[in-house]
Amino acid sequence: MQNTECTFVCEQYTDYKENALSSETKLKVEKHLSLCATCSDIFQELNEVINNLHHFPKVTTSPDFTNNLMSRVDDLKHETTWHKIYKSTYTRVAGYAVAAGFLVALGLNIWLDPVSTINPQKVQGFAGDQNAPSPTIESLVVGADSASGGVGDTLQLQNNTIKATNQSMHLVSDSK
Amino acid sequence: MSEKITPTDEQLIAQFQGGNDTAFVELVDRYKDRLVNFVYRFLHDMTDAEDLVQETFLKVYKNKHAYREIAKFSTWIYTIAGNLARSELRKRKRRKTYTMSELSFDDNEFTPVDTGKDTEGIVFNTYAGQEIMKAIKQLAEPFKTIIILRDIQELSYEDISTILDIPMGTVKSRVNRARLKLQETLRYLKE
Repeated sequence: MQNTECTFVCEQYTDYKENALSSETKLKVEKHLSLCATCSDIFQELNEVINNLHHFPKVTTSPDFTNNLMSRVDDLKHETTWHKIYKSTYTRVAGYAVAAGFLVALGLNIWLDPVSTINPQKVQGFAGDQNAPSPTIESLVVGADSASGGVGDTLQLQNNTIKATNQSMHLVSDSK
Repeated sequence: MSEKITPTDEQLIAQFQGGNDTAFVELVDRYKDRLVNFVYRFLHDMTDAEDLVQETFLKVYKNKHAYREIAKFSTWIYTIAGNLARSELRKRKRRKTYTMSELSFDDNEFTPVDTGKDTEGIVFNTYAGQEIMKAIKQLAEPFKTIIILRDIQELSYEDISTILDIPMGTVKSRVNRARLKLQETLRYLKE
């Protein structure tokens, strides 16, 4: 396009072809076309383009298109309620919500108790702590002794009871 | 002799909404080729185009009561098909299979479509047919859609305005610009 008038005229092409221009604008366009060979050529080419598009080869559906479609429609009709629920968007959204809830719960758990959740081996007495050394009797006794009473006292008491029982048995046999 | 009156699309959809499946089949027969022509210009694959048109009709079947006679049936069904086509193109872009084949213009793209199914394959073998198709593909999406709806599907400006949800003035100006772009692209054929 050569100048602003050419631009203006080309912008009017569709309305001009469809007779939708005011008589004043139509006259202006026609006057310009009679003087401007470039725009006249463009209008001619546009006519050819549109003619080609109107006669553009058409594609057609395959002969079994309708039959295939109707068998899919039949499938739709026989779809069970559970299938509909399974396929429905709401079900999928609910699934995502449950998954999101689980992740949030897991996140909260980590946030509130990061040590036991992330590294459970660092927690004493953790049942799954496979690498922890097995407790020995000494360690248990020492551990117990350190508490009030203690296993050592208990053992001593048990020895005294045994001695007392033996003495009682001697007394019984003497009396016989 | 009484003349058989052909029901309008709107009368057929009303019958279908009332439970008459034969009316649905009649609508399928009326629109299947028009819709496949429409979506084929975007997808460039006959199998995909047919699948998408089937999806369109299934949506119509499932949501028949969503149609209200405030719009023409044709604009409703074109809107559904157009939305599905756009969604399919977005999926293709995500899968990265849409890049070169859709944006480049090698001759491989114009390998005739299954000629058993349509006649376009034969015409694609002609140079002009190939060049016109290339020029349409070269247009930006809004211009491509508008030129297909107006000059290939030959829909009215009013219908296009409803389908694309844009003002009629915008439709007209885009049609004109799309035509000018096509004319520019195809000009070298004459030189």
